Amino acid sequence: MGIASATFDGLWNHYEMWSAIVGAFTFLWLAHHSLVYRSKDGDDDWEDIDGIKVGVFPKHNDDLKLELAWTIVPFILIVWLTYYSWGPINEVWADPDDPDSKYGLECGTDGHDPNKCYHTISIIGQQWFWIFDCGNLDAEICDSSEYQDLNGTMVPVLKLKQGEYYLANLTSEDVTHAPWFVKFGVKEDTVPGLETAMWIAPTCETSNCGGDQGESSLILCTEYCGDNHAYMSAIVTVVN
Amino acid sequence: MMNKRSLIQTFAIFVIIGLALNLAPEADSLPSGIAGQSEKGCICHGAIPDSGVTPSITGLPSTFNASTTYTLTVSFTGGPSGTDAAPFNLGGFNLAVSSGTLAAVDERVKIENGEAVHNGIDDDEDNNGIHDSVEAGGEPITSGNDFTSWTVNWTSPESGSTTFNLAVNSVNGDGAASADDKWNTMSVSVSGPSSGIVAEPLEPADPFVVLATLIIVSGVLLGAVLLYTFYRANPDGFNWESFAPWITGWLTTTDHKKVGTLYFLAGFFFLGIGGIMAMIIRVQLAVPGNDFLTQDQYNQFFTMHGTVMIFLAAMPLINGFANWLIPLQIGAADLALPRINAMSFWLQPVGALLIFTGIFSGAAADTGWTGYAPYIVSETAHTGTTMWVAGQIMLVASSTLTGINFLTTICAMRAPTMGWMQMPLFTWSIFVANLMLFISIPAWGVGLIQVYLDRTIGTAFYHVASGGDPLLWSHLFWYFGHPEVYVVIVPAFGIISEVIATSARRSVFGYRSMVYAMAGIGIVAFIVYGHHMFTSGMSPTLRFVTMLTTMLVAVPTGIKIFNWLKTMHKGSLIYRTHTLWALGFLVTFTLGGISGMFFPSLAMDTHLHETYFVVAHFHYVFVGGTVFGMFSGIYYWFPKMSGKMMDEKWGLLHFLTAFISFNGIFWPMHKLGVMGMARRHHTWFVSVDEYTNIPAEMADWNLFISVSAFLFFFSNFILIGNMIKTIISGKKAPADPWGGWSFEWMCTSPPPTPSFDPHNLPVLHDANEYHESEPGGFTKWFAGLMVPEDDSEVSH
Repeated sequence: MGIASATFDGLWNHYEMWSAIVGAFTFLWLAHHSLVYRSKDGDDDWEDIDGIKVGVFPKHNDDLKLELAWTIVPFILIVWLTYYSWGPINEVWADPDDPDSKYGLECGTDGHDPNKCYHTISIIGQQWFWIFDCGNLDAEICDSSEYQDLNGTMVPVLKLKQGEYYLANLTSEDVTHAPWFVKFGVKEDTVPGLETAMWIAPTCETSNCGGDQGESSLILCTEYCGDNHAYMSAIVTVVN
Repeated sequence: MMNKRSLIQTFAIFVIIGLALNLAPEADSLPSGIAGQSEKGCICHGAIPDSGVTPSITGLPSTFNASTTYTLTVSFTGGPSGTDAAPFNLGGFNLAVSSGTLAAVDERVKIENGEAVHNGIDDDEDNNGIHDSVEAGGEPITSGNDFTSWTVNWTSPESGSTTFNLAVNSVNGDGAASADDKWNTMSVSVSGPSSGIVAEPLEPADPFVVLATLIIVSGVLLGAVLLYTFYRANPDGFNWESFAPWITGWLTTTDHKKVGTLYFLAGFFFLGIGGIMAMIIRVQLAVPGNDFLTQDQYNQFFTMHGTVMIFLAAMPLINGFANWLIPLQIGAADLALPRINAMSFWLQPVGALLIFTGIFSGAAADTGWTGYAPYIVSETAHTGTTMWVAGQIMLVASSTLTGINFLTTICAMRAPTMGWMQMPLFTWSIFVANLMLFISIPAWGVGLIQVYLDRTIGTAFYHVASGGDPLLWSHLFWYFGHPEVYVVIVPAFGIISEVIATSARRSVFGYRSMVYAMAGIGIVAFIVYGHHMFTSGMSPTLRFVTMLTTMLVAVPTGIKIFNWLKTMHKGSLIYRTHTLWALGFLVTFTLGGISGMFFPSLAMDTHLHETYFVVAHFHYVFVGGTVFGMFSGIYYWFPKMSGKMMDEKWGLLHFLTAFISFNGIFWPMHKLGVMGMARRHHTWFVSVDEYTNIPAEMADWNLFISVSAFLFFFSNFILIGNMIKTIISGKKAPADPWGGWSFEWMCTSPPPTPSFDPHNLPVLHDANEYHESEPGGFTKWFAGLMVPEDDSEVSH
């Protein structure tokens, strides 16, 4: 079972692998040196390699080749990780007017590809609830009319369709909020006086997408916004 | 003497300020918002209740009889109800009682969770003012939200009193939940027969009372320790005549060592207070849906925890080390500006008092230590926020003065024989840290002053409705905030460099690359801050650039870690407590560094941002890095400072308990964050139906974390105990107990005052052979800039 979106899981697994390699390398080195080069108590028979004396700047202990090695090798790893993270960036901020992006053009506009187009919805944050607006979209593509009880609070339900792409335009009525679609691994601040945007590509974990009920997951607020920040949640239901 | 003209000017300024205060509506104290709205519903109709809506309950007896059923009428008037064409969809209500039971009289009302609410059906989904059922050719469906009054039966309890909480919505009937709809609440209590039982159930203690009590207890303990220290110094002179000059000497001191000790005292005191706040937070988060703290209290606690730990604990502790060690390490008699130094210190308690004003009045800042706009200038932010901002401005002044002082001292007052590339690495780290702080903190100072003016005299830097820009705050804050986190970690690098080299009885591997790496971190610090704003709606170009630069931070940090490891190579590592802490630092800081690499990857950050993964990461860096580094430094230099050797067995016990419990707290948080636990939430829930906040199997980790947190908190008392025990009965320390090379180990333990004879400064020899060379043009220019022409003025 994945953690969030396929994009996130791909990056996560790759980073986790490199973390394990770097961590294992460092900790094995640390364990080795701290055990092998330890001095026995009462052992005065150690070799004073660098001639440490009070008031004397000690002999340089360096090796340019080694220092360059652990400058250049991590740099190469960093370049690789940057390169690896580069591709998925486009999924985060694709240009809505770029027909070649993953999400294509807006459905219904001139020249859009019916197999690759996105719908526009809007999300408004307000202390302490979410307002979803599906605009003129069909209810089967996007529906925000239902409310459900979640831990004692009535929260809105956003119904989206699996396989469709959505561009959510975000803004806020009062202070900054941020809807986090936990299972899709995306979030973006809703800032008062500013229009921000977020791409949503709803996916399901099960093959039939939870049947008629659809698959539901949480939307949480992840930009601190005052008292009921923790209760400012919503539900997103993905239907097939 | 103030002349007449100045008097008139002063008076005129007061008049102008007074007028401004009266003219600006924001000058009235800001309301603190409505707590607990969620318990009453209605929040989907505007954030605050509207006084234009009047709720009422009729049918209530003045005192009720036991187990009697009363028929109550709930109604409201006012608001937008009935303003549209349709004579239905008028409003709703929610009635909750503290005791007794509610029952519906007709189908207009239903009972949910023991509360009475209107039984609403939307029979006009297209909002055209005609019933959908009529449009479909049938009879109109009448539902509970087509009325403005409802009847409910209430059966009274056996005894006691009952509180009725009523919330009503007055809606315009357009079917959309928006701020155009209004709501209001009312509360009324009715008493009944006495239960005959005198004892009231125990109320849970107010967390603020707990905190205030613990602060006072800590203060009293600190006072007792001070008194005892005074007594020990001279048991025969334990009287007021001796005490007054003794305490005055401390309060008015300009000696760098005494000011350093004051910084340590303040730092430890606030480390304890911040720790107490963390414990209260962990009690709240131990189990799902906990109500030990209300959301309002929780928000104040995490805000104060962050503020206290960064600004009132970490920074003073670093300044404690810097004050004590910089003059000793560079062979100077004192700091360049000793009085400015004392002033920098005394601004801190004043700032702290301002920051804490809110706690003592029960409405502390609730903005998070980041104080994001526009929340910080909104009406929902607590009044204490203004004092928090004022206190922070004091701390900005303090840090700026400290920066000037240390930069000047390190540039101008090194022993004449000590070149830049012969400075101990701890001195280098303080130089880099203060340079970063000095360059970055003015930006935040500007932001704070803007917020202060917004909150007091009604300017509009951050008020969006008046054209303010909330992102400006994020930029100003993080331009300072990111270098700030390096300001607190870089001195720990310095400490670890000293400790590992001395413990391994080698000179540190790659001294020059260590310096360059530190300088590199200092420079890169200024161009990475955008990674805090990856999801803030910042320009994509800036996001991309800061992604690249953030990735780069790993390179100099990696150099340092590998250099430390290589330093041990072929050495003869003596295991003392400071060595253990340094090795522990290498483990935890490396883990914190690795988890930090996940954030610049933008498509991953959109999931990880503002989750417990972030909380885990920065605590690994702040606690596993800065605090562990400082613990190492304390065990390393305490003999120098106090002249007594610390107890190694207690030290070992402290290291083992703290290191294990620390990892028990923060390691599971990585997983919790990834699985869906957002930070700054006052509570969390396990699975609710199919919606999973935190999977049930992960939930127990929260309890585990809380238990570990208490273990960690109490383990640090071993350190405090060890310090007190050492001062009282520790063995006398030699001048150089560990075999370090730098100047501080030349002095006696504790060092004399002045630390070095200004007319006979120590001479640094160099084990390396250098070829004499003329200083370059830049060095000459810089030296001319930093050293006054008359050298004698450098002293005080």
